[in-house]
Amino acid sequence: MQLVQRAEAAAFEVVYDRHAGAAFSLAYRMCGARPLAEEVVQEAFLSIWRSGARYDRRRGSVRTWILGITHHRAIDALRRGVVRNRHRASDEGIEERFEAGERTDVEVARREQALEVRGALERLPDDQRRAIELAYYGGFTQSEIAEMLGVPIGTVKGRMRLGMEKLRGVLGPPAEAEAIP
Amino acid sequence: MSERCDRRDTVGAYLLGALTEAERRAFETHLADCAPCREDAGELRVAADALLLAAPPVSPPAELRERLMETVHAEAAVLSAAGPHADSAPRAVGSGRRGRWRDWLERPFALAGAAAAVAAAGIALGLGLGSPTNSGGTRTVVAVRTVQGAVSGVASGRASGRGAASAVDPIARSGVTSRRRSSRGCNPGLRH
Repeated sequence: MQLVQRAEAAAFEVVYDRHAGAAFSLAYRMCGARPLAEEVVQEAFLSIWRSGARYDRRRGSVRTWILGITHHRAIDALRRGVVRNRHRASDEGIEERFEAGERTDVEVARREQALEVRGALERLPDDQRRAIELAYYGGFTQSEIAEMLGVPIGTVKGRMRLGMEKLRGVLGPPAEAEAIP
Repeated sequence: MSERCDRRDTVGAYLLGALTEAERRAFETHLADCAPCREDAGELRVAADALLLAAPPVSPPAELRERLMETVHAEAAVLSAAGPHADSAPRAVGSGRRGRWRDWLERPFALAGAAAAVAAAGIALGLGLGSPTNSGGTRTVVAVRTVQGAVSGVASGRASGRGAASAVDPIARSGVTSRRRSSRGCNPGLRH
């Protein structure tokens, strides 16, 4: 293998090692099953490997970019599914069961950040939080959510918007995304 | 914000990925013409980005890394075997994937000052928010596969049937396809 190709592959491994944990966490949160989460993360990173030039630093940190791709792939995967189990996947104990062996500073910071955002989400009024979670983590469309909740689409949109405005107010500008490499 | 648009409430649904493909495309067309909605999307983007980071930490399995890197090294080897021409086709179609790829990898991952840049780029953000991989990714993959097809003789003569592209197709190689069939009971992992 020529040096250039070796360097490309090695650089990609570094990217994977830095961001795969966050990507897998997101995919697992959305899919609720490890096999599908693995599929989603694999698809996301392969697309990144094949189109690395698409990253544009003006659009935010590398991590946000990678997680955005992962989120998009996970939504696609969820919407491909013929049957979606709409019961809650138990999140309790996940951190204990799958916690990485090493607690690096970066990992600690990431965990704290995740806790902060989850805390902000949980402080939203239930109807707003639920609309946001169903859409963002569940991959449901606004029409599906309206049907599930038995409310007009306009109400769903309004709840999403209000919830996001509150989150933005609590979490502030995206400086935190840059603090973690 | 100077004025309100009657489609303002769709901004949140758009950023959360709650639109169908058709709705998303229609709203992106609207965003191109509606400055208040673009500004709005740039501001609320903060919340959507934060949600990306909120998942409880779960470690990916080592096998995932092994599978992925096997594919990556195989594709790098095919490109390498193709020689200098391997780079020319992706550049022509995909705007120089390899050069820029290395370029941004070599940069620090913590992009100091990017927060301000993000705020300033709110308008640009508003246009491509929901689909980071939609337009470019596919095109580049096609380019790579074209290269693989062109060098199929070099790639140990595996180019038969569906061609070299399928021979190095990572999804087929990794058994993901078969898992996909059995994973339809996926769970959105909702709290309620």
